Amino acid sequence: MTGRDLAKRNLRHYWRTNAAMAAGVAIATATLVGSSLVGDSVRHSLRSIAIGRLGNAGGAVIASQPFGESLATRIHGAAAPALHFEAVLKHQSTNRTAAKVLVYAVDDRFWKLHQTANPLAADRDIVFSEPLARELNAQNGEGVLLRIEKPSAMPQESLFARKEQSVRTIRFRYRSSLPDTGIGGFSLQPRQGAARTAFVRLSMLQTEMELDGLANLVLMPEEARSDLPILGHLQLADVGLRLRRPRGCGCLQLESPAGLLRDDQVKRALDAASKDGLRTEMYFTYLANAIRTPNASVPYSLVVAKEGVPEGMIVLNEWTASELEAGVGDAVTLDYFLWKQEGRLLTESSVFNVNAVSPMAEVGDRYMAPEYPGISGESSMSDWDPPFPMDLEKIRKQDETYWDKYRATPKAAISLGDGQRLWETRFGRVTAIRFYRADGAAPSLNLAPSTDLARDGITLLAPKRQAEEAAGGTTDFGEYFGYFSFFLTVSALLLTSLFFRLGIEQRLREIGLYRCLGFNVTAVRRVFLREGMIIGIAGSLAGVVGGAIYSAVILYGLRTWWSGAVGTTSLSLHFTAKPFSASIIQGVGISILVIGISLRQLRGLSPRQLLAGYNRETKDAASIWQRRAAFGFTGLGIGLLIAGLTSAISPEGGFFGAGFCLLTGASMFCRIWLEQPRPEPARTLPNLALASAAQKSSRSFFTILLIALAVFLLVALEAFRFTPGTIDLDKRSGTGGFPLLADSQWPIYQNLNSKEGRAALGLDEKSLKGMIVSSFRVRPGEDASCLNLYQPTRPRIVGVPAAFRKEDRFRVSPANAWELLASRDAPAEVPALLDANTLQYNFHRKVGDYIDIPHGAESIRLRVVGTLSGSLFQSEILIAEEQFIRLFPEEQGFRFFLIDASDSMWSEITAALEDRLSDSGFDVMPAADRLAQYHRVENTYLSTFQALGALGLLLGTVGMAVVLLRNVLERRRELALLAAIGFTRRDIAKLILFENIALLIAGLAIGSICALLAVSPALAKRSQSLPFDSLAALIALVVCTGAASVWIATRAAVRAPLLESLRSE
Amino acid sequence: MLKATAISKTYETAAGPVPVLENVDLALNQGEAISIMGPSGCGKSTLLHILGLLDQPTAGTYDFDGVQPWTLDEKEQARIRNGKIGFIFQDHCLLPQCTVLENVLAPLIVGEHDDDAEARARDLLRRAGLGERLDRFPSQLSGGEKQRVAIVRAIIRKPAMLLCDEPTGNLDQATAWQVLELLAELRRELQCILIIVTHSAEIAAEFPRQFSVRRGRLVQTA
Repeated sequence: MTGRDLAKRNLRHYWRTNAAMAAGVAIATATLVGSSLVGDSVRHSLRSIAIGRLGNAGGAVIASQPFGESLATRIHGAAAPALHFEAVLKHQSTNRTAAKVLVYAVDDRFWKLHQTANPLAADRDIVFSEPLARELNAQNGEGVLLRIEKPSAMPQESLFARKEQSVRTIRFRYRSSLPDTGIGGFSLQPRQGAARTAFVRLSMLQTEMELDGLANLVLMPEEARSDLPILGHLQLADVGLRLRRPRGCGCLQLESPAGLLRDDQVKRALDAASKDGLRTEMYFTYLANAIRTPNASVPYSLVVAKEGVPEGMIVLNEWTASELEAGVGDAVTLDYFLWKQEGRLLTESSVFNVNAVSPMAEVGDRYMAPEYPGISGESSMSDWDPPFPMDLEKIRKQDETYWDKYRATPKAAISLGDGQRLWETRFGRVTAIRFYRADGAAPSLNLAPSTDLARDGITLLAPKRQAEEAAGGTTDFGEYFGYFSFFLTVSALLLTSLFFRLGIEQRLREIGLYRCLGFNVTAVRRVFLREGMIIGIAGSLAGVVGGAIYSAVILYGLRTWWSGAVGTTSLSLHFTAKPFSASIIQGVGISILVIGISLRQLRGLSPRQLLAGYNRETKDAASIWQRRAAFGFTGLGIGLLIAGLTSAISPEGGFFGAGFCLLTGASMFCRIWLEQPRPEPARTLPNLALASAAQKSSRSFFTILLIALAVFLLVALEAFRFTPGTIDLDKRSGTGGFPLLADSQWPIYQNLNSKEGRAALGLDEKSLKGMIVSSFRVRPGEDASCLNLYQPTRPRIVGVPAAFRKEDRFRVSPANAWELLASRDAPAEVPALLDANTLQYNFHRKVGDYIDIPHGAESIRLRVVGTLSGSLFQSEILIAEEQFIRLFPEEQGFRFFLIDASDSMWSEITAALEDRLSDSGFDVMPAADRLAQYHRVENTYLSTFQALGALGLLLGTVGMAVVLLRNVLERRRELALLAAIGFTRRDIAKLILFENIALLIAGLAIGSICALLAVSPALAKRSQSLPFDSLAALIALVVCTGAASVWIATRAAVRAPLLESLRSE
Repeated sequence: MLKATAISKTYETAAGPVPVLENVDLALNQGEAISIMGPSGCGKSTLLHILGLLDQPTAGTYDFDGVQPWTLDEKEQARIRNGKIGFIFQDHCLLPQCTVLENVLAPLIVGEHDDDAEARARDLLRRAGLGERLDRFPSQLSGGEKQRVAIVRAIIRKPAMLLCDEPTGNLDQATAWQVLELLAELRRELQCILIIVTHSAEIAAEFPRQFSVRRGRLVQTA
């Protein structure tokens, strides 16, 4: 017989113990394989969703303002132009409404790019993604109303732009739906939830929106590697510039449909003119409410600010001078409106002295002024419909005559410097530039449309590459399952070790015999290691199957019971080779490790001791190394706690490391206490029970540790559970003290706190009594919170006004975090605040780190200067409003609001705002509900991880039952003796129960206390109180489960006849 | 061949040291057979374990076959146990997972290779009346049969010394004598030292030299 033969014999003979060991290895392997598979599957699923929904779009160009659709063809032969908006859809028959729907207006090139048949047969056809079709319950041929905001060329926050949304309602006919797993769910931003997308014909929407020949999106098959190709194909019209030749001036005039030229555009134009040897004249034209003297007034007159007029002086044209009866040296007052960026309209005045009275042509011509909507195209002044208040009573006959004859010819001129000082905005301070040749011939200008895509509101996207990166995910499920599976794995290893130790104890005499026969220690070890290899391979193969089942169950759970955590039902199992190949190595490694550690216990035992079945259990008080180990683990645990608290190590490392060390140390102390010599003989059942537990102290230690591990996981996770409580209106709470918040699909430009603003929006003051609103600018983007499984690459950004920052709301860290937002120490960086959860779990960063956001062809570097704790700002990044305006001038108006009001007015305010502002898609909700959304996701994650804790508890109770049965088996003669001296079966059952319940309670106490210690730093940071009710319920459940297991095992154990075992002596 | 001088053994317990053997002297030549008697717990099994390198004495010297085994390392001691010493225990100590033949061949898993071992094992088992039971497991054997297997296993390497710790303690009288006869026959062929520990005065009297352990000391009684 060879050693291999002996190993085979042993495996077969001790199949029960080996099967138990293999089961332990299988469980440990299954948790490792399963965690890895879960992570891989979620990543793969997210990737599939995102890539599937992109079709063949490898690159994209998006713009905040429409550009010529021919740009698509110039960039790439296979590119497809499109218009894309967020819209509100309403089903005409059922009145069902869907807000924030992504609408794509496309032509044949889009479908060709994605190699899909064009489903839009007729002009008025609209096609939905399947989830949207279900949401609206639309049937083929039914009418659908599409409400879209028409983009305004003129900046909405300039005086001359309309503040109320120019919302168009367009009727379409629902044709069909497309699966949202493919092009039907087309989205440039990865989203895991159901896609709510609609497609219409490009030409149709262009016509309806008066955007003929325009697009705001180009899709390309490949990613643009740099901005150069795009810059080279842009034309002036694409970036909102226009060159024209005004009649009679012999010049070239640069202007913009926006009404203003940006400073960088002015600079480039002047540089280009200088290169081309052209003379330039700059103008800033503005509308004055009145030009007046003490005795006379001319209403609603255009005034041009230009070079050549002295500062503080005004030049009147002859008509105006005559109307005012003013001459050189007279004081003239200009009254004018200013639109302030906080949403207020102000009336200001400035006084000038008449420098000269000039002929009309010398002051200016009608072509100098930009096209003002509601003004320039009207035939008479009384038909004017400007976006500010106008008193038609003031218009006189002569004013109408002037308008009829001279149109927008300026009535006066002031210096360019004065005009810019009075009327400049962040959108510009020049309305037109004229270029002249010295020789008077018609000039031409070689002007590049753009040198900075970001400034022109154009961004290059690489959606496929970004989707791949984003699919790496914020929440690495594999990683978190791995972390929490760590305890389950350790439990499985402990159980495996326990079973093996029991097996070793059973085979002590056999080992002694091997030694008698001349097997040296190495040869004995080789016998067991051979067995261990086979057990390991068998266990790991079973573990692989178990891991696949485990991950399938987890993914099923994520799709169903726990879908609240992931927001999608599209997660599917994806196998990769890595976990399987690693599992065999892990399984064998685990077996060898367990066997190696267990066999070390026999070190130093002589063959005689082994033959006698000597067990190191039967020794005296705990050795010094045990005490040192206990102190060592406990000290290390405390050290890791402190390190986690001070962020010297990651919070996960602190929690898991500290938890494990504290558990082990506490269990070791428990064992040392058990092994202490008893001061008195055991005279009661409980004392006798403790003496029994002490006799097999290492088994007791394993049992306690098994239970403690499971309880630790369950209690620690439960401690983090958020319980919906009363609304917290404390300024430092997660709601910042605000009872309500609101989101607006389209921006609100007016000040919701002013009478004028409310009146302009049609809001009734009475129904808003006591309401104070903090309004925030928002750059739409990806949700940065736990609601989004993808790593946000273009997250939502919110601008926080200076006044709000001074209110010191929310719990921030450091204490001056709000002030730090305004810091300009490093001009290339933008200070930012994030919620602590978002920063840690979604961006995997900490305070002081950087987050780069794509902007144009480059990126903006945000520097994290602080965090908010458990706030309702978990979906966005906060920057100072001043920075926001500088970086994102195209994002105008306010879209996010925090509303303060007395509780008696909450319902009325909500109804009033939603009713009057429904056109903007204004949605009010209790601020606590926003927090509850995040908490629901967190609670769902906790539940999924607690499932692992439940598995661990199962292992613990199984282990406890096995140890109990084994102990009873070995102690049958002892128990029989007790029966012989008068103990009833009931007494014996009580003895066994006391012993094991004591172990259960010890494990419960150690697990609970260590859990609460391990989570205390994190809980303190979140200023969260413990959910005592649910914790108590959980602990009661553990006690009941463990006690039931003990009771069942005890009953089985004492049923067997005991006295017979005495007779075998 | 065997010389033990002033062997002492003391066990350390929580209650203090417990001396078991004191100044035991024993010298045996090749082929000699002795019996050792004594009450339970007197230390006779302890002496056997020390002589068989299963336990280490607290004091004294021990020469066996020209070497002092207790000065050697564990591997060398294992080699001596494998090749030069055979053990027979009261409860036979067979491997329950191995057949009769495999139990006998177990010592050959380690140590020097022996091509003739299997043939010799079959022959010895046949002589022991177990020729038809080679593929049976210990659970399928009677007490006497098990002990005969243990005896064959103990001599399969042709050891220089056989140590028997109450080999017939669990057997009825008839079976015990059968076992002893087999033991005697095989020992004669091997001409090895035989030391047998027994409770039975009758069995002890069969040996030319008889010893007993009294108060930790080995005393020759015959």
